[in-house]
Amino acid sequence: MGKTVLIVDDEPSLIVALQFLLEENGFETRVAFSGEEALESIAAHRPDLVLLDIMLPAVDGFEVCRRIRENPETRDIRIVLLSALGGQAHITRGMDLGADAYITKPFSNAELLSRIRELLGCA
Amino acid sequence: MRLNLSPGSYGFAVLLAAAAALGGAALFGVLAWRDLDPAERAAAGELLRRSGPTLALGGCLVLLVGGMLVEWIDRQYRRPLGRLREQVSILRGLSPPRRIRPEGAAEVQGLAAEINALSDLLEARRESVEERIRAARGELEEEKRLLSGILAELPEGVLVCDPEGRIILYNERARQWLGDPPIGLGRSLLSVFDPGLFRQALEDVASRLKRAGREPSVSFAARLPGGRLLHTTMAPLLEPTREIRGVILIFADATEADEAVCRGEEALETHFFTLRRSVGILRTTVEILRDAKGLPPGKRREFEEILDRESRTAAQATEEAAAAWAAHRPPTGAVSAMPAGDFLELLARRVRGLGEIDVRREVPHPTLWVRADGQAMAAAIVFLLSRLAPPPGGLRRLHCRCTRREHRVLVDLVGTGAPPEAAAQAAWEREPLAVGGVTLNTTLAEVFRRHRASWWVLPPGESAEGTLRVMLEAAGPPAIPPPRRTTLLAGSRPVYYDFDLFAGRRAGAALLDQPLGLLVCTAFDTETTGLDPEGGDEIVALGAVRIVNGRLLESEVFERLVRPGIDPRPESVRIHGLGPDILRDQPEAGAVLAEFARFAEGTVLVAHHAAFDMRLLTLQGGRAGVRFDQPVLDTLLLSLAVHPGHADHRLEAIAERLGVTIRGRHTALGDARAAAEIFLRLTPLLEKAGIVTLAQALEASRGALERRLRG
Repeated sequence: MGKTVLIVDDEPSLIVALQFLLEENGFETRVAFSGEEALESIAAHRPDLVLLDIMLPAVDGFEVCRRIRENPETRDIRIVLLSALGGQAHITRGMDLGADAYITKPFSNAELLSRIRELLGCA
Repeated sequence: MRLNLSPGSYGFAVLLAAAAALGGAALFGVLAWRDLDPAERAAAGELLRRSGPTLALGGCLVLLVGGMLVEWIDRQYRRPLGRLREQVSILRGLSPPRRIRPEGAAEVQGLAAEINALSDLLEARRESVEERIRAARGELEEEKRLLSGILAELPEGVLVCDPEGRIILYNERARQWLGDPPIGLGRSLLSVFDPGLFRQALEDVASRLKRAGREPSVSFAARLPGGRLLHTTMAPLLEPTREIRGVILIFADATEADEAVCRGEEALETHFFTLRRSVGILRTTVEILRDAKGLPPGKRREFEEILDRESRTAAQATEEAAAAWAAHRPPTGAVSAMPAGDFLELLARRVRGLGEIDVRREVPHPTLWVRADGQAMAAAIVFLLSRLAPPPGGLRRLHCRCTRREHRVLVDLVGTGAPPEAAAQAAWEREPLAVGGVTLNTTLAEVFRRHRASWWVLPPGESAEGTLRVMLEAAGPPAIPPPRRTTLLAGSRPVYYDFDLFAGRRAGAALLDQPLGLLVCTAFDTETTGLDPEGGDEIVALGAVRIVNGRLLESEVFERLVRPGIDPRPESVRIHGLGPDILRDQPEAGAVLAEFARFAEGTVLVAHHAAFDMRLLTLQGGRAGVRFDQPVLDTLLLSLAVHPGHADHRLEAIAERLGVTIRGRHTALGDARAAAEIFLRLTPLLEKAGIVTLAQALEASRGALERRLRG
């Protein structure tokens, strides 16, 4: 059975594209359009990896990342921050809060897939 | 002539001498008579009887001669000496001295001549000293004028204050930037400038001073309550003992640059974020379309729509980022803003320097400003013109105009001929810029790069003859008008300074021990709705003037009308003329008193019959949360202390006694000014009475009040 990836982004176009890409490559996907939705989804169905946008309405990606790491049940979920916020400050902050990788938009699909596979140990 | 017969006087001495002579003669007669035997006494009696009249005549003669002698001494010595003494004592106070008229005996006349010679000598010395003082004062004034001229023209704000923030000197620009509430000599800078920031910077300066070899000045940014951001440099003024006697603050306005940077960065961040996001979606989608095999047609269409939408978003974000950058680019350092009209005028002057050219220019709107180093840009344009239409006979007519296009200003110079070849144009860009025999050590390309400007030539159309178009950056007119340029006129005092304020500080004494002449005072007066503050009467007008170092500062006055909570009583309106109609639209007491508190902060309050005004300030200030707890001097009580014998101590009476003319009696400002002038005239009189310091003046006032209350 394939690994499950939760895609969290408030941009429907990107979600459509990412969902197609991941499913084409044998992953199961779930989607969430906001931080709260993501936390609810994680509590209901624990994913193996979260693709997490930072600029989300209300609860932002940094906050979601922190809460995942705080909860012992979700602590070992892999997190990839995916953001249009460039700059060393955001990357450092994201990694500090427990993200496993930080990928700046725009990115290549191959790069994204290889990072995900690497993190899930299915290279 | 009245004869003075008191003991020790000349008349008394003459009388005494006459009495002694008569007494001596009588005593001699009696003693001689006792030694005679009866026969001799009979013979003597007989002799006296026979020669009595002769003897009497002789005695009278002796008395007459004695009297004449006395009169002669009196005329020749006593009276001339007396007059001489009077004249010498008058002469002491006169300048130039009056000549003493020689009279009396030769010795007395000689003495008068010596005194005249001595006073001539003194007068000559005095004149030479005065001449030297005048010369020194003239030099000092000249230096002050030079200094004030320099300070007034500086683009920076300059302010000098003591370590407590008391202002000693400032220039017009500092006043404009810091001026709400207006700053003034002797007042505290800390009413407009954050006190914590000031003290921290001062501590920093002090600690740097202790470590030798370090630059003691510190720089920091200060945000004023009004929002202005001042880049501030603080440098110490040192005593010979290296103690900090005051600090110089130099302000540069960083508001515009800071806002431009912030707005520009914010806009860029937002647009870059959108751009990244869109490009991210585009890339992911394009790669899916490229790589995915056997994509269902419905899915393909969905992705194509995403591509279409996101490429539009990306294009729009790119445009917006570029526009934001253009609008908020921080100004370059060496190029400042100037009115487009000034630039065109300068340019026209330079063009005429090329030769016989008919230059016409359209006057642009006064709000149209450009960012330009006028000299360099004009030189660059003149250089271009001389290349486009090389003399002789090249350029004959030129028409100049400016138009605004969004964030740019287009300077059009019509009449230049056809556009140049690309190769020639490239060569001009690199050529050293030389105009009218002056080489500017720069190139055309360099000047245009520095201005972020560009140029091109529009080909001749049907009516035009070819136009050189130069595009410069537009600038907004400065929010604050530049200081008036009349400041170099002799006699004007654009910079309000008073170095003597240091003298007060150097004494190092607490306020109470300060001499009255060195106090910084705020003389004030109120007009009211009536005479019963406790019964609800309120202030309708408040006027104040400032006294610094024994001078009334005409430039620092406070004058406000106040809207009272009750209507003024008719009898009061008859006095001050401030009826409800005039007061209806005025600010309330709370606001005015708060403003007045800042005006009077750190000064001694002076008022005539201060008790009344202070009651109003306390009652109405208390309601608004404003406190007036500085020392107060009452001119009424001080007048009582100086002239306890006079019964009348009303403002008019004292003013008349001291020779003060009241301008605007029963206006708050007029009466405040009168109180100030009375205080200034009372100060020397108080000093003569031994009342020198503030503490002594307060003590004397208390004493006068007690005497008055006792009755």
